[in-house]
Amino acid sequence: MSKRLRDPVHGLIVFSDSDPIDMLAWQLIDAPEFQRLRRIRQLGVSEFTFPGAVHTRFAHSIGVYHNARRLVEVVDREMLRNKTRGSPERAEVAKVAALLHDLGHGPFSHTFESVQVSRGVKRRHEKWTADIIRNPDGTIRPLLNDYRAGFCDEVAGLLESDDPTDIYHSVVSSSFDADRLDYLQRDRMMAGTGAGAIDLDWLIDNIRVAEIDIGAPDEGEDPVKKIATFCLAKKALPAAEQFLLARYTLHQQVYFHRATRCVEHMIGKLLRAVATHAATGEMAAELTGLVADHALLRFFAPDGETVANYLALDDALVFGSLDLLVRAQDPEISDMAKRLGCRQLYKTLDLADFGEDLGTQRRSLRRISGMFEAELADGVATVMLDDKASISIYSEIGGDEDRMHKKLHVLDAGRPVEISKVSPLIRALEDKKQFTRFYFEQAADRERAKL
Amino acid sequence: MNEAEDHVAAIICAAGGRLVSRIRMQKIAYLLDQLGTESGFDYQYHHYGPYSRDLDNAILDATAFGLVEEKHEHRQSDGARYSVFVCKDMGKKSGFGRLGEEKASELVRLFSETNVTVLELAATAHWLAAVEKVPDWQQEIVRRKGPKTENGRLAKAEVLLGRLQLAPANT
Repeated sequence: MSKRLRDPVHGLIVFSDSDPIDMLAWQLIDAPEFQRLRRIRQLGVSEFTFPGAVHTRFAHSIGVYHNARRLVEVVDREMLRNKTRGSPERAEVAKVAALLHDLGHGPFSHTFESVQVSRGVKRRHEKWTADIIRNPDGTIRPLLNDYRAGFCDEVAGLLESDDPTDIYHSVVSSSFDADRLDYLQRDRMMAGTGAGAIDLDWLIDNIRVAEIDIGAPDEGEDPVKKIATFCLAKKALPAAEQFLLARYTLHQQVYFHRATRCVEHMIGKLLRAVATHAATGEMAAELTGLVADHALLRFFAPDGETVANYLALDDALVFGSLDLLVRAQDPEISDMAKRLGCRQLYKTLDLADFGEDLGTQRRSLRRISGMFEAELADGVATVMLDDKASISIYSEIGGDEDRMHKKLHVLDAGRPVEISKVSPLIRALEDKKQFTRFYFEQAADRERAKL
Repeated sequence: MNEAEDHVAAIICAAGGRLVSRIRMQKIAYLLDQLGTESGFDYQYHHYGPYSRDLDNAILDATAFGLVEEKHEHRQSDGARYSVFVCKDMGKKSGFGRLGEEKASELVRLFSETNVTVLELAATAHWLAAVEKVPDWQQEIVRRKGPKTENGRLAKAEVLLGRLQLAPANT
């Protein structure tokens, strides 16, 4: 029998009993690894700032699957237009990869990754995703390989690759991938912001398939390889501009909101302190307030970074442990747990408050860092520096340049060109804008820093 | 000790006062650090291989404090934008740690003339072998970088690492 879900963004999502990949998707949704995504919020702690933003990676992932099915139909449509043949097997890989793409997120997603980075761990959530899919002790792998021999590796492999190999990769990673088409709508709706509407149906109707060079742009022409990806017909240029502006606005107003970033840093400080005690081992339970076999202590213990221990972590576990963490002998942990429980935030100073001049901002950064050198030190952190958020029309959280296949291309006289070539509006937003903030435990310190 | 922005300016000076592409700048800084420039930058794996947010901030400081100018040009074929860095004080020296000024300058000139994708592959191969310690780094780099490894580019990256005596070529 067909299965149905209702979704605030996409309406009725039907899993047809006549479509084997839909039935596999339904089984995958029931897997414990996927059900865990119910306990990881899509926007982490944004609900401290936008109370409605409590939607989960579970709902998002189902929305991404729904979009992936629509995009595969676009691929079929464009194959027909271009008189080329598609690959039903690759289409299945893309749909399932879209559904499972977020399995590897840890609690509070990017915040947890930054905790791991500060501990010297060089492992991305994409790697966790692939490991969870391939886990021989898990439930995902047998479901995939029972569907088709080798299917598990095909799905994990698509998610691990940085660069595209064919048009089906575009369903999962491109300027119009299924992920982006879901989160831009869902995050906007759930955050309650009116900024940045997206004309989705018009955009999808105007998607075309064309080949672009995936090599990083450089002086001279030395193409790496041309790969088919999603581009837009020129008549959709205004809608494409709005689409990119929506993404820009969400970063500016929601993802990089100063209060949200402050809470992320506070949780990071809390988790780092827990991790330090867990790694040492001695008195970890007493110092953290957690029970001795708590999932956080298991994961952060030496050799504790296993898939099983990782899957035991989620947002709900951390927030549900605040009452234990309040009892920690380590006053840092205890204080932070109390603060998070009642939203008593550190005090934020944004360098933009000193004016838009970049030189003034960077000199202020240097002056304040010097003033509070001891307070900023690892293990103290009564003052925290946030200098890792920047946006441009393309750069991602973390700041690296975006890849060519993630940049939006428009067909100009039938030839794909990067949108900024034909849109002065987008060209104006190409430069990176940096958000640099300090978070102070003591309000008096913030006042001193302002002087 | 020199400030991080001085290191950025010194790399551009060593390249002859002009360096093309932020991605190239990132890979040059990474490879130089493996050879002993001791910039203090921390690197993480991103889409183009090892990437340092610290270096990104140092570039920001170098432009904000007037040491470097960042211009933008566009690829003729598709309009894709890339950065061109110009050094405004050609006398800028970094010291380049234990690698030394002369050797570092020679290498920067070499890297500035190397295809940016080959540099990306060289830095990524080193990262996989030396940092992530992936046992079969060749299989992994093909998995992650796909078509970029084709047409002899991965072989060129290996030759470059061999010349630098860096992993995985030296293992």
